[in-house]
Amino acid sequence: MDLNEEKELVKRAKKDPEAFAKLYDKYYSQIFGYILKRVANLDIAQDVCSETFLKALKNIWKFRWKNISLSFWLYRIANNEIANFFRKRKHKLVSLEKIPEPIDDSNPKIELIEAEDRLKMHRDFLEIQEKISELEIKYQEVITLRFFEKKQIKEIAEILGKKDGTIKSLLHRGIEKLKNKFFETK
Amino acid sequence: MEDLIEKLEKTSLPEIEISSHKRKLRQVLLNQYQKEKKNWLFFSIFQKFAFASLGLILIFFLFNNLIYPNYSLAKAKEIALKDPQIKEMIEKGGVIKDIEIIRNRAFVLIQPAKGEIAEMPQIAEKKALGIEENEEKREETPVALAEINMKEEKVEKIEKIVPPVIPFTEGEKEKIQEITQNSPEIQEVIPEEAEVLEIISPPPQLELIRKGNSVEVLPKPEAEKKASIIYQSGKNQWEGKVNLSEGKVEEVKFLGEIEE
Repeated sequence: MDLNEEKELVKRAKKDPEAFAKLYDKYYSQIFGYILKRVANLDIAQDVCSETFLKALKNIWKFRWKNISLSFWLYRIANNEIANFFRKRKHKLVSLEKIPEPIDDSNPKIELIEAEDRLKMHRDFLEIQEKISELEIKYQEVITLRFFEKKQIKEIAEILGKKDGTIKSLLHRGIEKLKNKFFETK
Repeated sequence: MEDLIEKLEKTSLPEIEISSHKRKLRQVLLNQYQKEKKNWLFFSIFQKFAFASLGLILIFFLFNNLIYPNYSLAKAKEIALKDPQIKEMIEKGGVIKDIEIIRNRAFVLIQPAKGEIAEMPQIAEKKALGIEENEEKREETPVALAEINMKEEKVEKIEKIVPPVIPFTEGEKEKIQEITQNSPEIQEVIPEEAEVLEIISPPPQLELIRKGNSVEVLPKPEAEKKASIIYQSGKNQWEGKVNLSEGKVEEVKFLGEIEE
């Protein structure tokens, strides 16, 4: 899907639920993946991801197309939701528990256990993510977007609504601080 | 640092997706969609309404604070200048010094221009020459407060005002004498035997001060204090203009001879 097609889809998504669902299908994995890389916890990632898409649904009517992918906007919402989560851990997140499970062969509990097992296998990631999570949120955001989401400086600047130079210095200082965290452990 | 960057770049990342969550959330979003759509409509109308209201408030504010006062002042001036009595005052050297608008009424202050005030000693000149009495002179000075009905666009009342003369204190009088005695201009023009006939304080500049639904005419605080000192020697009279604030004589002139 190129930018023009996406623009049309976003326009339709303001009137047609199916168009919104198409956008959701396109970006769910990317956004869920990003949140998981930030929180390293499947339960929290699911809840934050649900909040992110519900916020997107609530606010898509005022989304103005600026010739950049909708994913940037979704990343931004996800960042806010993650920040909210870190700010007040008691923050009541949307739980999908009460929603009846669509008829399907798969068992969500088993699926979650399997997913957790797979997550545990990424030891390097979990170890480094633990250190990143000890940094200030602004450093967590830039480091995750740059190294785990493989975003360019310009893209990070767009997502975070900051200037390129600010992102570069945040990244530099963030890595510096992360290095210190590893030293502290050793 | 490079090692850490390499480590970050090479970290094997979890590409995990929980399809049951994806399906559930999709269903929730689709269920919510119609409800949200109603909210969008409400909020978009509310937003447009809020913007329109803000725009109206801004226009109202601009009109009330910038456009209307200026328009009203110009209108009041125009009505005042059409009045024959005010016209006459203006012809005599008066100017509109201040205007206050209070609830469809405009108060217009007419008084001599500042330059003319400086020339006030012409009163002193006449007085010195024994032509007229001081009080009569002041009545001639075009100082008046006109009240205008803005709705009917007419001057309703013209009240003549006698500008208050603030007399000099003894200390000020002494200072004036001292300045003039030490002034080379005075020594050069006025004979030594000439006597001080009178020290005159020029009338102050006036301004309108709003007080409830009316106005008060009050003297403006002057930056500089000035005085006119009249000398006489035989039949001849002179006038010295003194700037008390700067402590100097600004002008010395011969007034003429007293008629028998």
